[in-house]
Amino acid sequence: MVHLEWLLALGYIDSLFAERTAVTSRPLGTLPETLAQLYLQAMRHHAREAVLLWRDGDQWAPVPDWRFDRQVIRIALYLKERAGVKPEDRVAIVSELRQEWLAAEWAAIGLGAVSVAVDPDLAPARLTGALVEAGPRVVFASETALSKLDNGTMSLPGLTEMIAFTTQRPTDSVRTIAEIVELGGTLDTAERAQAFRAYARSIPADQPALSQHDASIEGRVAWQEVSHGQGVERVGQWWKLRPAQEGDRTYVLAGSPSLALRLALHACVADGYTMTVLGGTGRAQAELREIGPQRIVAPPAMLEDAVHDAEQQPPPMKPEGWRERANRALGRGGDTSSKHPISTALGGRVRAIDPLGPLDPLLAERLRRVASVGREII
Amino acid sequence: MNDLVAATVKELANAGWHTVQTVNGLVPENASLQPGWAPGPLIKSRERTKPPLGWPRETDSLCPRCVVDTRNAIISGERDLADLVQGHNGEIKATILEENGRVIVRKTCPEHGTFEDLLSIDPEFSRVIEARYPGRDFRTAGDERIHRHGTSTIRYGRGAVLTIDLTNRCNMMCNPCFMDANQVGYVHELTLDEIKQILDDSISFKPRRQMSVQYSGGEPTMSPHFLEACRYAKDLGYYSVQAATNGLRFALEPEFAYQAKEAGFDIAYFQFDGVTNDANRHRHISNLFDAKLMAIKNMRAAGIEIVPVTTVVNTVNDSQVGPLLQFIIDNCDDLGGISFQPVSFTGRDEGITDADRHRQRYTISHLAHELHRYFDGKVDPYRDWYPLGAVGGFTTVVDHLRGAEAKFGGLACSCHPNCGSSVFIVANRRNGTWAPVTQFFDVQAFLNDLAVIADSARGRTLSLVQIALGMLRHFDQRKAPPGFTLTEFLKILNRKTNGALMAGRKPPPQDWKMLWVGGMWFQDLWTYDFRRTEMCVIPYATQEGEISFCAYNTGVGWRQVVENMHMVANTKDWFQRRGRHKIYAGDRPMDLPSRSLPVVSAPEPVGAGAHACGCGGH
Repeated sequence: MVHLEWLLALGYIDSLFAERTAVTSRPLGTLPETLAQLYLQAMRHHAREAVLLWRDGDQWAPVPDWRFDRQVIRIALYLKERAGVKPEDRVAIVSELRQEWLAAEWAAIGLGAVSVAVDPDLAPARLTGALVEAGPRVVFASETALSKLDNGTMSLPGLTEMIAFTTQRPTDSVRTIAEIVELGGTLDTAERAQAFRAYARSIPADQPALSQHDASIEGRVAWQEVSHGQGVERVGQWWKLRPAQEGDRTYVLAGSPSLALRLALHACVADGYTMTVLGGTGRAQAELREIGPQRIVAPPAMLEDAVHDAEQQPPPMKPEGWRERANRALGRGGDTSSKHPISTALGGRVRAIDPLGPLDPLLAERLRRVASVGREII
Repeated sequence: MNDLVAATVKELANAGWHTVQTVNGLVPENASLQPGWAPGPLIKSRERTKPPLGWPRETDSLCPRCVVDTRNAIISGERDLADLVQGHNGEIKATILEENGRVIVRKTCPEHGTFEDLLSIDPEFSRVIEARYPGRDFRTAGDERIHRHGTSTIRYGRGAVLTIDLTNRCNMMCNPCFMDANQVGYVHELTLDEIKQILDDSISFKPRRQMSVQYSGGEPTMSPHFLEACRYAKDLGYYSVQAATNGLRFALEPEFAYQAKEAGFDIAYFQFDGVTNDANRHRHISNLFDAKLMAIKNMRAAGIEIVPVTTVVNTVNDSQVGPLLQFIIDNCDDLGGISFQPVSFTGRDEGITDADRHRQRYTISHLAHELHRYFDGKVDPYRDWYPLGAVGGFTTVVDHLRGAEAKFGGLACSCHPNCGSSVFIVANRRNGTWAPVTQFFDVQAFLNDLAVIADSARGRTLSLVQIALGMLRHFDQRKAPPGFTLTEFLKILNRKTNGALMAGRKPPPQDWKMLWVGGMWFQDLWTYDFRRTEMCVIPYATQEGEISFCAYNTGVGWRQVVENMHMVANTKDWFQRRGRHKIYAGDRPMDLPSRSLPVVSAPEPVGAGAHACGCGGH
């Protein structure tokens, strides 16, 4: 195991016959029967350097497949062994979209529980009402939600544990997600991990998987729910509509995710190719230029701001030449200054845009000049 | 290349070498470089120091009884840790001598009497090994915070493998076990922050080392931080990331093997004691060999290199040595060699009776002669075995070629010649043909050439030319196994050096593969020699600095001291707070997965245009 650079010269000819041995991700491209199987399939043999990319202060924090899988397993083992979560129990997530959100959701559905999403921006009374109606065994809550839930000290029938998406414990009785992952780490043995996978594999397609509190209906609590089988069907539709290519980046800017967005996120995480970038409010345009995503999932307001800013920019100094046009036709990156200003404002590589709400027809028309625009995800 | 061409090339290279050296001798040597990573200029061969070698000789050792008393007093708080650092607890003089055709160590404690043990059954073999030792590496500098263990302090060298015990928990109950896993009544487990600190510290002084990191334990894969620790070590620039593992986790969870590889795990230093379930009976799992085969399959599928490690105990599994090497050769597609470790009576074996110890003692000389016997003389004890430190000759030239700007020194294994020896063999994976490298390549003469090249310290091009000439003139194709040519030799060297010859690219698997057959003999209280510990190249990195492997696991027992100082819970509390882990023991079989799961379980592709697999798979 010694570096023998001194033999470079003698080895050169052999190098003509050499092959690269880098580990690469494998696309999935097949649709299993349940969301739990979809997750297992995505996490097996995949080597994305970042399945998720999120902002940690001033830096991007990548979550490779292996780390994401271990987080999911450790949360799941904690939920099962310490919080007593059983199949068909409800696990509520009351939070804005963040990377732990996805890990908690996969963990819950892998246990056969129902992952229930509730908007943390609801008024405290409506939020409490939604949770009472949902009857969760465990609640994951963001800082915003915790402030409306008496810092997690409120009592709900059947609730065994409140887990905070915060770095510090809000109260002694509430554990943070980092503590859960840490405690789950010592439960994460080969035997338990495989038992988790084996159970996840056996969940029937008609078992409920995702539930969503419908905040649009005032005055009463209403729910949307999909089973594992229905969820997978929706993922398949997304894959057909938005086929992924190796190295794709999907930029997502969202508050509390809707059911449709949750399924779109499942589709991205599970396709084996996509790096899903969770953007930060107020930084979207700078982040888009930095990331250069192929797909954007964002609210209409952000898209409108980007288009507005792009149209305020002075036109390019020199007309587009044959080289730039050829590059554009071939889909190559190159100098973004020669691209359409809206494309440049959206990172320069965008192929598809999915708005998180109804889009003004004029805005949609402008966006279609640079990318395919899908129906709103609501 | 036919033999005539090969012979011509050899002679031309020989003539070329002598021509170059004629000119070389007329021009004064250049001064050695002083790279930023080193505490001084690169050492020329004549400047290297050596520990006292040969026999009879006197050395510093330990009384096996006094040491245990001292250790227990420190752990119980009756004595202060400072006594261990500043004092000479249990130290006595020992004499190494030849007697009745054997090399032995003899020492007398005024309180506990005389102790004697065997070091070699063949003085001539030991003499040859010591004669091939090229000398010590640098003395360490600026390491006062890391190396501060009194007479057990490491003083020389840059280390080759940095061992870090991630946890003392284990999922087996072996006998022997040098760290007494699962039996000490407490849990010692590093946090991720502690692991990061240890890794940072290890590259904080000179010589700044390009080491391999070896996570150990207990069973390191039981640590919740194993994967993150692999990634952190890789990100810092450590040469390779290894784990001393029993492999059960990889057997039971194929996904874990893939994830470990993706996190940066390179090499499994793989506990492997015999080629049948019966030969592994002392590990107390009745189908352990089946589990090992499954672990090998899963790790190789994930791209993890495997080096089996066998603890050899005389009269227990010494008869497995030959069959094990044959197994390695037969499975050279999957295995990169084998490390035989003659038993060290420590941990739960420290209380062994004198009779059992003498009966079970095994040395590297036993190993050399057993392989010679089993393979009908094909492995020659006197021609084929070299001390692990012989690799220092290669490292010096690599350091010279990398220049003064290099950030790390090359990987060097400059341990005491009594610590370990090895043989390199080439094997053909198709027809099973094999031979020791020293059968057709004059390693000693090549090492002498490398010393000339490093000492003269010429420019990069001239050095490369001399190296090429040296390789060509010492390769004798007529003595090589049929079909093995210089080109094949270069190809396997490239694979062995992780593609270093081809700018990181490895050729497709070739028919020939190079295998390392090592003997690494760790000390115990009866064979202890402080001249060995001060040159240790496999230090244990702990919360209390880096400690020689033998000083940590045996010696005054730094392991027990450090673990007691930094234990995180007693075992009962741990199980209550953190959950129990499965321990495979009691001579029962373990449940093994009946099959590997398919990568993709559903047949129907969706959106085939974009999702169809085009990469050819792993």
